[in-house]
Amino acid sequence: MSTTTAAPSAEHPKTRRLGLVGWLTTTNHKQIGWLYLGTTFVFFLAGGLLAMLIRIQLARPDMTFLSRQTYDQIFTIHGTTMVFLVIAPIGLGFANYFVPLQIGAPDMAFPRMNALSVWLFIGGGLTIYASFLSSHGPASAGWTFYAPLSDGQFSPGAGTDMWIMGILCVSTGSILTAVNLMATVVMMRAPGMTMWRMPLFTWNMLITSLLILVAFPPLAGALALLFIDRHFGGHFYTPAFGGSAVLYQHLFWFFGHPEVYIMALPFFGIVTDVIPVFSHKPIFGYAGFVLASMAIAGLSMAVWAHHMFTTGVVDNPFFSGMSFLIAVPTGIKFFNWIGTMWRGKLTFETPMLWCIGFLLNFLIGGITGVMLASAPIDYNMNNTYFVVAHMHYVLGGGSLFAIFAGVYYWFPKMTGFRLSERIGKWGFWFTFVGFNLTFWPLFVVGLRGMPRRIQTYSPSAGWTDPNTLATIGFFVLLVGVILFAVNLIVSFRTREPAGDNPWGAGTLEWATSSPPPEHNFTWLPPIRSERPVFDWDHRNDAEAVAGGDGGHGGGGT
Amino acid sequence: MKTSIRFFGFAGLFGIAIGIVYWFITYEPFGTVLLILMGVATLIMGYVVWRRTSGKQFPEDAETISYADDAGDEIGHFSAGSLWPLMMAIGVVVGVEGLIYGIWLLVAGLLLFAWATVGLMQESRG
Repeated sequence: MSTTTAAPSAEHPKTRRLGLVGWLTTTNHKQIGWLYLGTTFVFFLAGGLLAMLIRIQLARPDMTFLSRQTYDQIFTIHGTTMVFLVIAPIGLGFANYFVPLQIGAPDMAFPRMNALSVWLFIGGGLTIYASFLSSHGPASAGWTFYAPLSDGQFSPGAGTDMWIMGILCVSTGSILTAVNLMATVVMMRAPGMTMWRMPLFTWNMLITSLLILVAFPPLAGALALLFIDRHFGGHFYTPAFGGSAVLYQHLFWFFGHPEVYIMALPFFGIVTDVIPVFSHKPIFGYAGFVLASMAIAGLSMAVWAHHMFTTGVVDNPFFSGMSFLIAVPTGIKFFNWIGTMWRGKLTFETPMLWCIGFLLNFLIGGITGVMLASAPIDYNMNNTYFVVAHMHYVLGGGSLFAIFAGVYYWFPKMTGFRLSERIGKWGFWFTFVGFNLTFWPLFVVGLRGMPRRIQTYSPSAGWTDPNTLATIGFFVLLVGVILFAVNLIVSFRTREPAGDNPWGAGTLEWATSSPPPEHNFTWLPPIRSERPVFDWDHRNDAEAVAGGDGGHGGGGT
Repeated sequence: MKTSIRFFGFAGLFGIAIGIVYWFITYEPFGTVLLILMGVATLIMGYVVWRRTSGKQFPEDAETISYADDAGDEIGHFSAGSLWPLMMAIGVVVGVEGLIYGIWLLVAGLLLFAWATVGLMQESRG
């Protein structure tokens, strides 16, 4: 692909190199973005290590590699890590780095609050992992932490309390970041950057921020009440004393289902920024995409109890109907993506490969989600590995693949040099094949009735072969992740210069240097569409078409 | 700013509307309260944006504007770097551990948080 340079030959100030004190005191959105991304990568490796232990334990029947208690603790912390410490915050990390750049802002609206957010996130994550050192070990009530399983009687010990406090810290950090992002997007856009010209990643982060603001407080409330039950004689969740265990589920899932979209919408945005670049076309249906994101966010607030069909105390037809409805705006997004690629001049650089992997995996995750939205099917599948496989196809095959697309796409902007395409493509194929080898068999064992969260199983259950295949698949997937780490190391050592706009992209972050200077821009192109850099790069073509008047009213200084 | 206000307004009205529909279909109080509060909270955000921006023209909303038209406006004050956010976060994390391990830790965390907050405020005043 040809390399284009958006900016005129302006002298870009050099980016400051930070020492330890610089990192600890930074309030710059890009460094905070790096802190988020680096920390989530470490947590991703930790969560992946726990997943490996789970897969080893389940590889064959009657395994005793892990005790039942240890197994419970490991799947609890694995789920917690991937949901609260990896997928959700990595979206905030990308947003920290790229939302100000995409809208032409010099920083986030509240830089010091931004720093507080990331430190609360890191502190919360460390608190959860420090619980491995506590007397009873870490929490073991599953990442959903249902009461009464998580109360003082069934889950004694400080590890459970540390989980609660860690999640409260992470939640607070997320809420502060959401406020910050919304203020930044609403108040700090560059002149000419109307809302309907914003890149779609930024649009989706605005919508995600609103979801965070309405979803996380109920979680904080649920956990605060749980803590009161555990330590201060409360009975919010104990039916024998007038409480309600279902109240916990309501509060948790009022957070939990929007959380699925908090873990998906940012990455829909990344994919939607990447696909047009490698299709060499503008996005198909910009406004439709934005409205579909809003519809998904709105509907996602009204489907929480489809996780509670089998409690028998929620209105199944209402939640089933609302859940089916979400398939409509999600389907619109698939039309956006496919319509953009349709008759485009497709090229298959690594970010595009990850996007295509995302489309295929997320389609499977989405369709099985529609199946589970049907209450009669859910009654059969509830708490089986079918649900586990569905969830992993959405968050692993969907969000994680989009995350890798984002990393490969934006890495040159963040560092000034490229990741190796060759290693990247090998990494993609190992991850794609490994992922499907790991999680497709889980649909099979789910349909055969294997319950989630069981520590081992009998050889006569008929679950052995799919489980063995899933464990082999995990190690193939692991090779893909190792190749990504190798790619990072090789690229940091070779430092092949990338240029300011190596992909020929059109959104505003590509108008500045790679990496961007302290306050982001020394120059901005006029913003007259959602692709201002593309417009600027092709201004001579536009002027030729318009008979010498390209119609640019703005200055570029 | 019209788009921002509409964004929050529609989201808020959706929350209240779906809360009312939910109540008359299910008569279930937990979800009804959560949905309506979600709508009200979002409407408050829309109201704040409307109050802060009504009657004003913002360059970011102009379809055709040159940067020269906006020259001279102060975008904001950006902190050069601060240790206080880290100190505040340490205060919070240590303080919540105090709820588990003992009151002395809670007091230490609260004191650190209060000290850091005052430090941050003084730094903000410049």
